[in-house]
Amino acid sequence: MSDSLERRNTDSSGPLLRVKDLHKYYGNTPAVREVSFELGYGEIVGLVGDNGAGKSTLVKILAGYHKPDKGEIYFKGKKVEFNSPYEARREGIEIVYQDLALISTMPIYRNIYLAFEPKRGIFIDKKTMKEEARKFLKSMGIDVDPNKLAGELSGGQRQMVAIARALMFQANLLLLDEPTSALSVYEARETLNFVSRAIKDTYRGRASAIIVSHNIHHVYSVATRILVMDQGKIVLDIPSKEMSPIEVEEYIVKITKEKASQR
Amino acid sequence: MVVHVALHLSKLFREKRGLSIFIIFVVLIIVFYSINKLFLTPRSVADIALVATQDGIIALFVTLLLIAGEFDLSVGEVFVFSGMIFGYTIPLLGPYLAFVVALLCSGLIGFTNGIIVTRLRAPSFIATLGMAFFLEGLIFVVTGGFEVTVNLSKIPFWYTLSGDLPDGLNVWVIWFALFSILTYFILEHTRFGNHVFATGGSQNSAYAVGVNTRRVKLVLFVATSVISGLVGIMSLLYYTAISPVEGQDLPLIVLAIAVIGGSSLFGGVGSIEGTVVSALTIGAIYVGLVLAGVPSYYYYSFVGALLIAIAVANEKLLKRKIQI
Repeated sequence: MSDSLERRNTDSSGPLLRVKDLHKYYGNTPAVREVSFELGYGEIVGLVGDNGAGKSTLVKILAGYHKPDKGEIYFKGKKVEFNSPYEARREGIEIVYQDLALISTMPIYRNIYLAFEPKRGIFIDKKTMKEEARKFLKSMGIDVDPNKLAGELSGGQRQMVAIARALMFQANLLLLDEPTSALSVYEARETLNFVSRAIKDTYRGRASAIIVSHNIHHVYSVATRILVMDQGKIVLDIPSKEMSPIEVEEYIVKITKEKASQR
Repeated sequence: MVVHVALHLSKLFREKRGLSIFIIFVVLIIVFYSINKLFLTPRSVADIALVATQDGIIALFVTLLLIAGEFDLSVGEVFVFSGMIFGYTIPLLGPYLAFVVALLCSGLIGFTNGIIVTRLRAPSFIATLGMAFFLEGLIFVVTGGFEVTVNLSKIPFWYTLSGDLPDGLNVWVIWFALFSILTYFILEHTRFGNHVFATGGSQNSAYAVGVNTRRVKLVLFVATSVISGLVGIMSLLYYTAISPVEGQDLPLIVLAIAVIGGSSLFGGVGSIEGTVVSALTIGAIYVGLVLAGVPSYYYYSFVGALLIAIAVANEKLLKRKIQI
């Protein structure tokens, strides 16, 4: 594993993530506003809401892809300000995007270690990269040859390899942006079960996940808590046991209708 | 059995994009040699090397840039501009300082190209084409259209850039070999090389996992320009003169060498081995056609046909293999 990642410490006394009064504007339009929430270790949160609710912007801020205009983020008890995705990854926040998961023209093992390649002297240690990638993928139940190009994998395999990459670097927070939108029903279920197994069993108590999805039913199959966003704000934050997916769906429809009637 | 062999060969060609040019190179050597036995004499090999190395050195860096998803149409004008700066500043600064100043100017041009592409988000085709026109104008204003001449043949230091070797070869062969090894190791065995592949494969995906894609491109634009400037100076030293129009075909020739060597114009794919063999093939075609008694005009037609055939074949093979 890369030396920069070994420094990662896990202070599990407080929440894993604390977001305080986060704002992000695109021009004059608020994409995220007044967002505050906490996330404990081992939680799987479903972040749902209508199109343009601010879900993707929120996770992209947490992943260092965007900088917030206002607000504070505390991760593992420490205030953090990420200038790039690299800095977020170094702290233990990994994100998997629906369409940006892996680079098709590169072998899987090179994808897995991208930006954190192990080195031997001045050169990258390809032998270790291949061997470790093979071992890790196998341990996660993914049966693919790491020498294959990522473009040769199916959609589901790509998502799983991308998620496995995040876990391989011992991410404490896994952000999944629409992980199932491009997948078949079977692949979507396999991918979500894979995440659930990893968070609940393999990385028990060490990692949490936020899953952004349009499909509330998909998220419900694994989430322990649901956050609903509307117009950049978090408007509902409840344990998934307390509301059924149908009720959450109806809630989103209701606020969307109210919004439409106010126009 | 036949189907099995065909499938195996098809897989091999998909995995090793430089392989097709290697086979073409060997076939051409055999064909040209069978037409004219003079083709493999030391003098002909030296001529092949002369054609292959000058363009080949620049093509190595253009290959890196292509793999990172960009290209540079200003390399030809940087080649002349650097030679011009070198020649014009020698009386003022002496040859050594003039050499440094010329390379710094080349680097600055590359840096400007890089900033225009990465920060101002202009496509590299437009940015570097604009830069090429700008430099061409400047070159004509300064030189008045006349050649720039330099003669440092009496100073041993400059042999390292343009001296002759036995059998009609010159030191460019050594520089080409050194730069080939250097770029090969950078591309295949360093973090930077991995990031070059990633940046061209998908800039957004690479950035999302932490690759500084802007820096990768900026470094490559600067390196390509500095090397083009260096080769311009090497050419000026060797021929003792450089013409203002000398660089006009260069950007397209080096681009052709890189693409024939297996680099994709869409980024993410390519190899230094392919570019090396491709540069030698271009040299072999040039010398081979002359020795075969074919009028020299056919050289461009031959290269053009080869370029189209290989580019089309490689893109088809890649698309069959992966979903882009």
